[in-house]
Amino acid sequence: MSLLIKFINRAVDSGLIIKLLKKLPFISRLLVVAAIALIFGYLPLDGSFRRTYISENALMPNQAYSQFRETEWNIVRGFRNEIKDLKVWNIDIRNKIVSNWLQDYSLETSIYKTNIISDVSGDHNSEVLYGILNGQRCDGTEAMVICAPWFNSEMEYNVGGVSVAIALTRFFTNWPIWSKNIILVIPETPGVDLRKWVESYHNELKLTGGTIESAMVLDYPSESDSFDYLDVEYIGLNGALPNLDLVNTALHIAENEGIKISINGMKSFEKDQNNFKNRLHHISNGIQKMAMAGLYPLKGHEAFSGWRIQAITLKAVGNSGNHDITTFGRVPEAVTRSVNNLLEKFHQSFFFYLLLSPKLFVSIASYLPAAILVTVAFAGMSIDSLTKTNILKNDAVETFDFEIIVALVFYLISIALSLSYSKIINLLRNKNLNFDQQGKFLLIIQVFFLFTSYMIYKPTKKTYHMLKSIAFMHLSLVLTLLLALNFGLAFIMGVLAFPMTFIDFEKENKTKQRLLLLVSNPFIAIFCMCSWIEDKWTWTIFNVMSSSWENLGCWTWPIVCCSWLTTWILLVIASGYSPSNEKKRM
Amino acid sequence: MKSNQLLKQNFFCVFILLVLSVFTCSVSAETNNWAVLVCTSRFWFNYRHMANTLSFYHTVKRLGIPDSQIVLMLADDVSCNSRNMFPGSVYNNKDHNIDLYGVNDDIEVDYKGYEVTVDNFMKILTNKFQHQTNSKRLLTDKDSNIFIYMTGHGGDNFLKFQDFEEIVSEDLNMAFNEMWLKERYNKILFMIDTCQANTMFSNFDAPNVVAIGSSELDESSYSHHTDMDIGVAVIDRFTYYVLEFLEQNIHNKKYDGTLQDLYDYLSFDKVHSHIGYKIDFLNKDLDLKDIKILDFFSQTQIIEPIKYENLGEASDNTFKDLLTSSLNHTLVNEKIENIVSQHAELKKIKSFSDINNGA
Amino acid sequence: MAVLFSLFTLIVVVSTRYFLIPSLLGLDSNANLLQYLDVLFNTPYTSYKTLKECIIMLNYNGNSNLGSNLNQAPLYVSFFNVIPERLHFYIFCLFDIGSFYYIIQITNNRNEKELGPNSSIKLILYLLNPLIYINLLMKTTFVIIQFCIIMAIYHIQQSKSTKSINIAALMFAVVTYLDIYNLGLVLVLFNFIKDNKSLFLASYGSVFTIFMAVSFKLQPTFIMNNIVSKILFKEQYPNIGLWWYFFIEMFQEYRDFFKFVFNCYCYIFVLPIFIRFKNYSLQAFVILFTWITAFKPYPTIGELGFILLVFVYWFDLRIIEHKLIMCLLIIHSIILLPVFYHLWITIGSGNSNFFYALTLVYVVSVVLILLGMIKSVLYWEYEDDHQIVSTENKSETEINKQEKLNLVSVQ
Repeated sequence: MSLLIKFINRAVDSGLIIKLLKKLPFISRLLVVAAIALIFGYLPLDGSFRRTYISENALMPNQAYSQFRETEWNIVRGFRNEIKDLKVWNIDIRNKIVSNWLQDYSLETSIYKTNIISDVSGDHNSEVLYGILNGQRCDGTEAMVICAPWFNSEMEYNVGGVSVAIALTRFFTNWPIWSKNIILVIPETPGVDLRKWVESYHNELKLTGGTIESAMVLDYPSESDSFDYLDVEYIGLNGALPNLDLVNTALHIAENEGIKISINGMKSFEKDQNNFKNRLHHISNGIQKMAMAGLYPLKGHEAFSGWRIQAITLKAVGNSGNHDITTFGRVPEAVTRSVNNLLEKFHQSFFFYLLLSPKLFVSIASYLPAAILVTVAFAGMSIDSLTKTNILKNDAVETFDFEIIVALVFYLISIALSLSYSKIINLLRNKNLNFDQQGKFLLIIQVFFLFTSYMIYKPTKKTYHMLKSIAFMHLSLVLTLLLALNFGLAFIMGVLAFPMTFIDFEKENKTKQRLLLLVSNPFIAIFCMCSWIEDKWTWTIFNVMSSSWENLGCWTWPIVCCSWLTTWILLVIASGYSPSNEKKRM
Repeated sequence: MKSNQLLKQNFFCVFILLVLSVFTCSVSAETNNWAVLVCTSRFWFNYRHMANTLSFYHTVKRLGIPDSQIVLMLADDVSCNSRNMFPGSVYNNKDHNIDLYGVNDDIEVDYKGYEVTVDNFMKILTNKFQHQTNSKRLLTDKDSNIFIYMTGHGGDNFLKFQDFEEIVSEDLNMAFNEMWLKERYNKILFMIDTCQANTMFSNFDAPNVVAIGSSELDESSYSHHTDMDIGVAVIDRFTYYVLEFLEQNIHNKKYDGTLQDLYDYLSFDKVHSHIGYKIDFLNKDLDLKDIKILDFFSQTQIIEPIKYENLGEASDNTFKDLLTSSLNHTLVNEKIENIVSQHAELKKIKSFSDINNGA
Repeated sequence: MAVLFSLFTLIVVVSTRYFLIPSLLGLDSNANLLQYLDVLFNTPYTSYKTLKECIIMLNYNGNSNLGSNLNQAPLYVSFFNVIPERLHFYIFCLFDIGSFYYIIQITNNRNEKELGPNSSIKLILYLLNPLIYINLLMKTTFVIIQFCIIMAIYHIQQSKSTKSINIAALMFAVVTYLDIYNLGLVLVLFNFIKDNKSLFLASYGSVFTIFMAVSFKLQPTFIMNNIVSKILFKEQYPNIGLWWYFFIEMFQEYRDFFKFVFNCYCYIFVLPIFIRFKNYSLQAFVILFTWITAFKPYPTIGELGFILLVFVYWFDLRIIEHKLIMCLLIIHSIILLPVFYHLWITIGSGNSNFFYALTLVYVVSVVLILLGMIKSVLYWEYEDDHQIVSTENKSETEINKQEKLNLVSVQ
């Protein structure tokens, strides 16, 4: 420490620091560029990533024959015919029938009833059927979940998934080898009701089977016997990723069965992993999914994130291809068997990673610096503004003068304002506007706010710099907080808010500054990004964000509101400043 | 009355001692061969280590070391693991030919589960039990040859015991040296099957120790094959081929192959790692080819004939009584007795091995 | 008009601080955002949770010889046992108001050297200090310790009258009774007193003994559960201090040794600080308090809140270097500590090493504050010794150089 201080002192003496301080805005921008270059330029390069491997000895995937084969074929088909006919019935009748089947196979079953109050999909009642297969010789403290929703995320009737899940559970009852209980969960959809079930499983449910170690959601909507390829989705809510070992195990097993594999719906099997562009494509898709998890219809595994449950979704895509439905069933069978071998918990491998292809990954040490660079950039901008306020100089005896207190008060106000913003959607909901109109209204408010506020209040020079300093420091701190929790969100927020660093109202060209502010408005930026990704106008995105916060506990909405928006509001307040005014005041 | 009895007892004791000393002196060097078989790892995925050790247990027994002279240490009980598809059984081959836990139902596990610790292992070797113990002890003497087999997860200079402690090669070396000073062995064959196994004995300086390991520094030892029904690897390569060698070559007690034969058999394309050895004999320059395998593995003792007639007519009964009273609990002595009674004219008993071979 | 204005401000402040925000957050600290800050503010010996536990145990079985987890001092428990549970928070609020009042009192009769901001700003500083405020919301024992410390200092500064010495002794007995690690501070308190030292010692000693005796009568196990277990780190929970990692992750064999060394380290500077800063008693007190906080087994961020407050109040900030680095270190460590704790304990994707690394950063920042304090006092001493009055005598070049320095550091 003393060495560091000595070094700093020397640097100060030589005037280096002062030069650096003057260049600070430039350095900050450079850092953001470096961060972007690191993620999108360096990481997909040869040599910066590693091949995936199974690091947990106990898992031993593919060391046992998968037995879910021809013998089970007719059973699956039988279940499928029955389930096909069940489509016309209501959920409660469907669940009752299936529950009877499960009881015949000696499962303990129970039905969890829930009432969903959702902004987007409307209020409705829903049920989750679940059954517990108690392992013959297990101690009943741990469990593995196999989940098949009646309707998948695209609201298709999940015939194959449910029938495979039931047939598989029936098949499992014959085995003496389970060291963990197996829980079969059949919710109506893989979204809110499944999440509610997981929540109450950890709080209030009477019938439980021990801590859930892993969860697999089976998604096979076609009625056909065969499917094209297997898609594995793994990115959970709030930046939670399952242990890399589980993802690897599933991919490894599927590949061993000769299935074409893909991650995150990327059709990875078509793409050569030796190609830079393909790796880049995977990595950007991964980051975007990490940031936006919970804002799209849930695949299922997201519902499990947060309780140390490692969850993935296995989705069979297509209805031609040469893979059989029992082949699809063998993947969860072998994964279950692997997880069954596990002792205690997943701990060996990585919890923080980005996949560049099903078989290539980078770990946190490689990609985290990018997010750190972004936060440092904003901190740098903050320090730059702080030096311009002169409060670091000491001839100002009164460190806390009126102008600075004004800035602090504005800070508190903008925090309060952004906190109330997170509720604004709820207010809008009561009006007679549809979702599209609500979204548009919210965006119009932003523009309106931006182009009127400067007429009301004009800060002094010191306040202006202080406001800017507080604004950037606030964003920097929130990004720091998010770094390890949700890399994707931190990085994307940092990059989208990047135009803010160019804002400088000491220049006379106000229009350009306001345009920059407009571009870096959280709502406008998120709206533009989502529309670009989905290739259509996503007006409902804010409603979705708000409701997924309320129903799923997805942080994206409050975090955007309480960090980015606060910063933006502060900058808008600061935007009233102009040097000419200052001269007049003098 | 009392003193009289005491006198009698004393007399009897002296007599027994006398006779016993004659008896032991008459037995040649290799009566008291022992084996210490250690599996140091727990958990289901280390199934193969348990199978390794149990396989050795059976082989060693087949070759002639009785249960009473095998110290078997198993850190886990995979046969009862809930993940075991065949409850109560352990197999070392995917053909499921031999159930290592079920052969004749005569497994004696001396140290199991959490009793398998570095501390206990060292106590067994050096026989330094602090208190009286019911546990199996290594009761060797200066003529004993000991076979020590260890398997588990190891690294450079250490072998992991359970999941929380490890033994380092210095510990072992110290124990062997101490054993040598206490005259607890004649020769030791130390065999170890772990990753980087050769580092475990590269610094040994205890005399009369032959050490064979499965892999060099920075080299892994590999498993031989996986049983796809049980879902785990069932045996390690090194152990598999050692056992194969012993099974194929040693059919009777007359086998005179040397360790060199074994060493040559374990080629790299079989074991997939470079096996190594270290040999260190006091005042002798011996190599692997000078040491017979059966020195360790069996009880092929040549016993000097007892001059039956020398004892005279009068002591005939005494000798008989002695045999029945104190020694007839072993099978061998029963046979002696039979022979003595049935063939009174027989002057000479050749050797115990002859008796074993069907006299 | 001015009176009306100040009355209005008072009402606004009191209503937001003690009623509005707590009711918005909800008083149950497990159900709101505060639960994420739990590790920062609560230890088994200070948390409201253990207080409630103790109260329940007390009522469950009067003699409460139950278990070793009754970590709160018996008198403290008995005091809160008398008060209905919904009023507990307001009792803490009263203590908060008390410490606010007395700290303003102390600051008003300040040393002329402490040319800090004026008292109205200081008012705001206390009220806006988030650490002190969250500490209040968490209802930790430190709220009361803080009040007693401040009151003791206030009274001991007017050590002329016997009455104030007695009050100071009483208050300080409470401080040491509630946290035994404050015992070393008693020595430094003698710096304040010109005469009557024996009176202070006598009354302090007798009150402290009475507390101990009564507690022992109430609950004989408290010496084991509260004092010994604190010193020997029996409650092995992670906290923001330096200790826990050693006793969770280290080998068993070395633990006693480390306990010995750590305790020594915590107390090794009591005498040196007492002797060296005899003329700056208030500052010596704060310096020692900071030292002990940094190295004691169960520190909390609440203590840092108090330290930061008095750091701004009683030291010359202009002398202290690297304020920016200090600020950034503190803010970042406070933000990242709960994150890594959450990753380790709740989500299970991080591990204890990350969290411990952050506690190291945190302690570094506390030590930086400590260095700043010591530097400030030494500078005063230098000024006093050499009769330097002001900076006006300084030559032109020196001032220039200083301006350059001011950008990063203040000299």
